[in-house]
Amino acid sequence: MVAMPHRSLSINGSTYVVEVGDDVPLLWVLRDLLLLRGTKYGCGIGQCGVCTVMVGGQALRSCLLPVGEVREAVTTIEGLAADHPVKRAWISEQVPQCGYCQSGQIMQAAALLQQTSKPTESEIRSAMRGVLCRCGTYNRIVRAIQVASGQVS
Amino acid sequence: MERRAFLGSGLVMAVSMTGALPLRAALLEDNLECGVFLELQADGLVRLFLNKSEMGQGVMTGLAQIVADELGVAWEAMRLVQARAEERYVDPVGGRMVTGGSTSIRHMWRPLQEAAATARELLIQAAAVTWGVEPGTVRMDGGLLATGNGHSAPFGRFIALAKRMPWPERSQLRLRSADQHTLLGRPVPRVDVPDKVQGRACFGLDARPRDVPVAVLAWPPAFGARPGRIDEAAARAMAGVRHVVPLEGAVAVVADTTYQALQGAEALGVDWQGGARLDDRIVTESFAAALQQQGLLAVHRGEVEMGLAGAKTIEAFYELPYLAHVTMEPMNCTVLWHKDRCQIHVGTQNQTEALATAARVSGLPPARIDIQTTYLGGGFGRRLATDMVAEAVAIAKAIDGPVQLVHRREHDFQAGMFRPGCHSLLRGAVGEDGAILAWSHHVATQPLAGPGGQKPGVDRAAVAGVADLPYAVKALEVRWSPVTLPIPVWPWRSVGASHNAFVVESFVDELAYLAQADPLAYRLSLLQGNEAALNVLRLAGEHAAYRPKPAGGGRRQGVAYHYSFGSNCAMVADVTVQDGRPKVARVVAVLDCGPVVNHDLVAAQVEGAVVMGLSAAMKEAVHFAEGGVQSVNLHQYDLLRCDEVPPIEVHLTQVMREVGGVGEPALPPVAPALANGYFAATGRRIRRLPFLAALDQPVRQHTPPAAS
Repeated sequence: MVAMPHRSLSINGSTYVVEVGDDVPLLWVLRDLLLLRGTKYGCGIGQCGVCTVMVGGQALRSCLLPVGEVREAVTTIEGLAADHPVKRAWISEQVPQCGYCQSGQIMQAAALLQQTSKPTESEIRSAMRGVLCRCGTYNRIVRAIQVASGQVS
Repeated sequence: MERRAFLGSGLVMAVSMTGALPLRAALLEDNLECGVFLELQADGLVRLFLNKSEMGQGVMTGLAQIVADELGVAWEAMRLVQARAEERYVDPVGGRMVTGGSTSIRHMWRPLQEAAATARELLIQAAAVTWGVEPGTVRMDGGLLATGNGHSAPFGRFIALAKRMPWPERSQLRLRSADQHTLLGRPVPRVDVPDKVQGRACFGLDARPRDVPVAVLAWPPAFGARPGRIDEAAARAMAGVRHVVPLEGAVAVVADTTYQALQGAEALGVDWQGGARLDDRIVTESFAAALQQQGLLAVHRGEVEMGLAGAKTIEAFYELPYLAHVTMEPMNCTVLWHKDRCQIHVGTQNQTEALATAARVSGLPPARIDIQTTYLGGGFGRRLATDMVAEAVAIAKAIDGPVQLVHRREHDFQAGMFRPGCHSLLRGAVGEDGAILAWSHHVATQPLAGPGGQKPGVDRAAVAGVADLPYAVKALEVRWSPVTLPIPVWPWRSVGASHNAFVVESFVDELAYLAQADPLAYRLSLLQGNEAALNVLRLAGEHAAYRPKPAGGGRRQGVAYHYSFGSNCAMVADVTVQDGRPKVARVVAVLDCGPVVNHDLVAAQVEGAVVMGLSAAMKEAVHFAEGGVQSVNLHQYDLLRCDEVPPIEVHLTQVMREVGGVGEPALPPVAPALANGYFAATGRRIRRLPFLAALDQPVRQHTPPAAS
């Protein structure tokens, strides 16, 4: 058997050394090797977005991202500050229902606000279109992002 | 059964709960084998053992609100424990440990209230004895027992004595009156939200201990195919792959990690034997053949043929597709196997069946099987099925060790369990005064056995909302023809109403136009005496600023109303049309579900049901090819996305005195409100879903059965 390369990853401000092949998607490194299970598996083909994490400030689908291509620091739901404005707004607006997609929604929203501090409703909706929610919490998501960006209270 | 026998038996985790007062909360019908547990602790905490699964509907919060309010303790004192799958926790009305049919609050409100009132009464008696006062002078609020003249102490102090007090008769229980409610009716924040926001909530897929291997199934392309020769070499050569386990209709690959199991299942070479003959054309032909049959008579009232003979008549053929649940969390099940016992972690809506399934497949007695319910990453009816439990237990038994079974998304689609497709043929006639003289309704669907199993006669789901048509008609005939196809079908949020409301509410609209009446006014005229229905329709019209208008361009409004799961729901959809395609500009929903525990939980369910209903109406259809499912992932079965969702206004009203369901009733009216609004805007009647596909295809007709 081929020996797996040792790889160093910066995740949520910590450095992890994992023994894993280049082609393994970041999602499974997070969930299975590092036990960071806030990031979810949904479709495996980048269509549902529930696996969204931030890599170097960009929201990316971790199910499609081979760990060998991860060059920048990764932030997952566990690494986003517990009192981050997006998380606070998600609580105040009572966004989640089943909650399964919400890590992906929150990471997508945090990335959006990092790039656009006061997005319009249409900017919010188009930025969030990549993350599916079967419970239908979309309108609360939009409102929570408006709250988090100080546009409504 | 003697009460003391209960208290003495230490049924409620007595070891860890020294000083705790276990209260048997099963009082309904005096059947002590039914119910849930409240456990009041000496430290002032109250444990509530939940017999319902949290799948996003907020049931943990709602049930805890009922208990805290009636008992008279602070919200912060509540501790929620998901109950194990055991007979004693069954729903006292349904008789099973099941979360479905929009029944959790309906079934549990009263029993929990009575359990809490019983506990309070015992504590009041104990306090009265301690203080030497009349029980009538003692109250319990905020966790304190107190008299008007100086006595006051936390309830924990009286637990030991309360255990020796006489158990109050159910008939003597004094439930709190409306003015004494502190938590009921309040928008208490959900207890599950913080963990879900921080990524800490444990779903089924998160329940795997690190060293437990993962199983992924190689699944046949055709329904019913069986594995023949299996070429394991490529899979076995892959890193981490431990076992290849043939099952009845699939082959499991077990590996150290999820990714390895996914890769291994893909590498497996399976020679599939047999399997169904099935594609979209066969599906359509099967429905057409079913509608050629006379079918089973569900309702026959009045002279339908006579009504259809004269006056103004219309005939319409409606087609609805198969739908997938698409829970965002794919099916999974974790089995910690220890040969003579096992523990199962699974997000299930059906603990009773999960336990029975695990016992049947493992051969273990139910008492040796511990089913732990995790959070459900979506339910919508799909998790009433226990296929994932059967598969996981079979694999664990075969490898004689623990395992987590994971359905890959493609497998989740391929395994089926779909909302059945539905074709309906309708004929109707209206008189000069607009009265409906005759309504003939022929439904073709696959029988929906669901978790209760197949029953003889007319499938109730197939004719839901039709057999009990709420509108005044002089003659009604409802028939159902079962469709025989190898597609696994299953309850999907709102079940039969999810297809029939579209048909009924579209057809009422067609009759309104035939009668040259405004669709809203027409409905009101046909619902005289049904105050709850009239109320939701009137309110929906008011809140939506509904104005009758002839069909034409611009923004138009479509109305729909449906009664299901004990609740009335009316909707007005504002529809605009661009390049012939509809865009919903706003949905106004009015729900009457009777008394409400928590308005925000209800509003969230209505918002979600509208989104799911709109998603299905606009986009969703399962396609079949080569014996199985053609649409196997989200690129082939897209859902409504954030930028496609209109503003949704939710209004609750309370004409009904009975508690109604909440999770489902707001879904059925969505599709017809959209179709009716589109017709108002364009004059084009869409009788086929999903909408976007129907717009691109020519109108299809059904050849009605030849007169005999």
